[in-house]
Amino acid sequence: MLGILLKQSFTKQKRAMALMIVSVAMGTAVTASLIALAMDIKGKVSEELRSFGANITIEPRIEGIAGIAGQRRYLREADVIKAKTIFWRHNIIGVAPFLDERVMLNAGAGEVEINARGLWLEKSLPIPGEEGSFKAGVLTVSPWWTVEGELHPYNPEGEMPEVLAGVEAARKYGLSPGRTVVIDGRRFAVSGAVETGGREDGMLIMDLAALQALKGLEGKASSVLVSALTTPMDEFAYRDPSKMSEPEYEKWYCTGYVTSIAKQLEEVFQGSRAKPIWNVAEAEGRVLERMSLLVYLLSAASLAAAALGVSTTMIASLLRRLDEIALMKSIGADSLGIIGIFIAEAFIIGLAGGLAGYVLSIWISKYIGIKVFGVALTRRLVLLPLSLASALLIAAVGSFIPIRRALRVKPAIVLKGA
Amino acid sequence: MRNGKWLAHFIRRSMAVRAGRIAVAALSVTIAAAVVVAAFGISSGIRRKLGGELKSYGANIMVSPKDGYLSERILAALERKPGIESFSAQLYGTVSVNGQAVEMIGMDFSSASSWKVEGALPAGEGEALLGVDAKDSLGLKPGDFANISAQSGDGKARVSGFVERGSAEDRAVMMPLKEAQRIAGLRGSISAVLIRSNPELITETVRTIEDMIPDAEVKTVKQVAEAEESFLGKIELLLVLVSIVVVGASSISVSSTMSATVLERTKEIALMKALGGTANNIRAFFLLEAASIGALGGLAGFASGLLVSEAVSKAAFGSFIWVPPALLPLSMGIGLSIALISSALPMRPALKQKPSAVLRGE
Repeated sequence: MLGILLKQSFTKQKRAMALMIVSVAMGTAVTASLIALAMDIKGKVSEELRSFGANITIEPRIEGIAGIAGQRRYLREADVIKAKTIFWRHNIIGVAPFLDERVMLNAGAGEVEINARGLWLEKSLPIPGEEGSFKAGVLTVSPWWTVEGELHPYNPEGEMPEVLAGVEAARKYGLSPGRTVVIDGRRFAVSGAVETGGREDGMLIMDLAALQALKGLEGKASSVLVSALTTPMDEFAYRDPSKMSEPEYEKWYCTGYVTSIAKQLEEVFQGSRAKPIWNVAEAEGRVLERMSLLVYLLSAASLAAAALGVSTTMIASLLRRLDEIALMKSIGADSLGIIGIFIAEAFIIGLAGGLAGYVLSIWISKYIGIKVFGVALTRRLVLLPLSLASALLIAAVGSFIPIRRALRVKPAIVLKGA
Repeated sequence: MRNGKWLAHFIRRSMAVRAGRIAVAALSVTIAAAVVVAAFGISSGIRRKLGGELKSYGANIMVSPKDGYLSERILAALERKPGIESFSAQLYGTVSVNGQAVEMIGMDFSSASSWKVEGALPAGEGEALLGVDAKDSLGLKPGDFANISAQSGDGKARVSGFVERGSAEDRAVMMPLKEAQRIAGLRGSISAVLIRSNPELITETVRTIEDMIPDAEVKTVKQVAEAEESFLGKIELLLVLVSIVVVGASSISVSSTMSATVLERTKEIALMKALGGTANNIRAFFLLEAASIGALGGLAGFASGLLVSEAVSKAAFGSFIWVPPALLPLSMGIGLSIALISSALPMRPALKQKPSAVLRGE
């Protein structure tokens, strides 16, 4: 009986049913796309926020009264690749060693003392214990650097080493590309200019090895900047790790907080002290929380709007079927029977709409992901059951009011046509 | 009955007799319009909201002297300049703390309220904050007194606490600006002004300040400014795309409701025709009805969309969002067009049907 009725409603009212399925499909497509977005948003935004620069700085540990002005200490350049061996190695997306020294520059008008920074612009390093390589160097942590010209790796036997001039230094000392200058008694070729909007604009930039050779500091670095994807700091993360119990410490150590990643880096860099760059780390956590909350709220709102929209479609379709319901009632259908028909209809509509909506959401989320972040959002299998569930929910909520209304139909009045 | 009169009469009767159905149609238009208003309301305000969150990345404009120091008097000129959200002045120098040379930063601590400090921020003059690196090397703890001296002044300051920022502050001693000026013998002088400008107005702001203070170097902090611009741009694009998708989906869903209400009235249309109504009469009647539903829904949709966007903003950002008033006409326009288009489309086949066939129930 129910089967016949259902078959009838889907064949005789093709148009009305199609409209309802479309309406459920649209609601589901939007909801499923927003859920896909919500699941990915933290990772994606976190990657985007890395364009604000490094969030961890590693410096030589200063011990005792020897003091800030005391004997200089250095990090080991060889430790840089170890950043890729820590527990959270996959979260390390940039690492750059620096050597900062004062040098004497002679650009033809006498000697001046100036800051020089040795670094790698971009360098491929092998990943210890694994196949493949990773990119290190200042461009992996500071994407806002504008470098005009090239900086070739230092070759002790080769011809003149190269130096890039910060834009201000270039203006002040006339360091145009192609010129030859003398730095600490060695001849260098000015190979280009660097603009960063920071202190580097007043410096000379050269290959790390070149400055090391100039100063007799082979294999040494004065600081290392690291850009890492992190879990936003929460209340737990702000507790002092040295006062945590064993299991708490373990949990802290194995969560990708900026502090625990810093701690792990400190362990692999000899004689180092690693600190979060708090300006960056603090803002990042807040932005991440806000963004993911926003996307979740939007998904909830769109789910609600879809359910309401479907509900109005269903009510509209019910209103034209009052005659039918009255007739069913007058020939003996009880409330249960009528509820059964409507629920079965809603179920079929939900299922069909859910499937269509899921397929649609694959396209939508792919499009949005590529358009905004340059890569499609992760296609998660869990989205299929989620889409079906939300479609059924939309259809069920949508049919709640129509069913109640249908049960109140008085056959005599409706059939009389009043 | 004259033309205008019958129309008004028909619509009044239709609204009264079919109040339930009209309400359903109006509700569905309301939802679509509300979704539009909420989606575009949030995406148009997101720049400002997230911009506020990005503030803690630091200043995006830096003003420094071309030579020597700047005069404190320039600060008054920066007050209430459009585009400048906040600014703070700093003085840099080197002092000796308990006999050791340490970088000194004179600053305003009101901008440092989010700093995690061991101890406390300086409450006023006579107190100093030390960077963590200075802590170990000086062997001091919060509450201790330190001798601070420079060429032209010296004194004792109470160490209010230690701070870790992961930057130059960690090696420095930080003091209220006035105190730093006194110790360095540079009353009224500053070394830099850190400005937080509205990211959208940053180029204009840099130009204005350059004109205002000719002896200063005004630079955009590329680290903050560029990242900010690209990040905000992406998030805005994301929300606009989401809005378009949501709006598209809900208009399709709404037009299916509206079409259903016309479809259901094939009989009515046939009756009107049988009684001598021309196609134009009937069309005018239905479209006018749809227009009133659309206008009503658009208005209600604007109001409820406003509520939704404020609720979302309040929950996600803890503050209300500014929704552009231009969304009211947009909302009305969307309500009207959805209602009109989705009733006009099914009208055509309905008008083509033969009254005799429909009325006989075929």
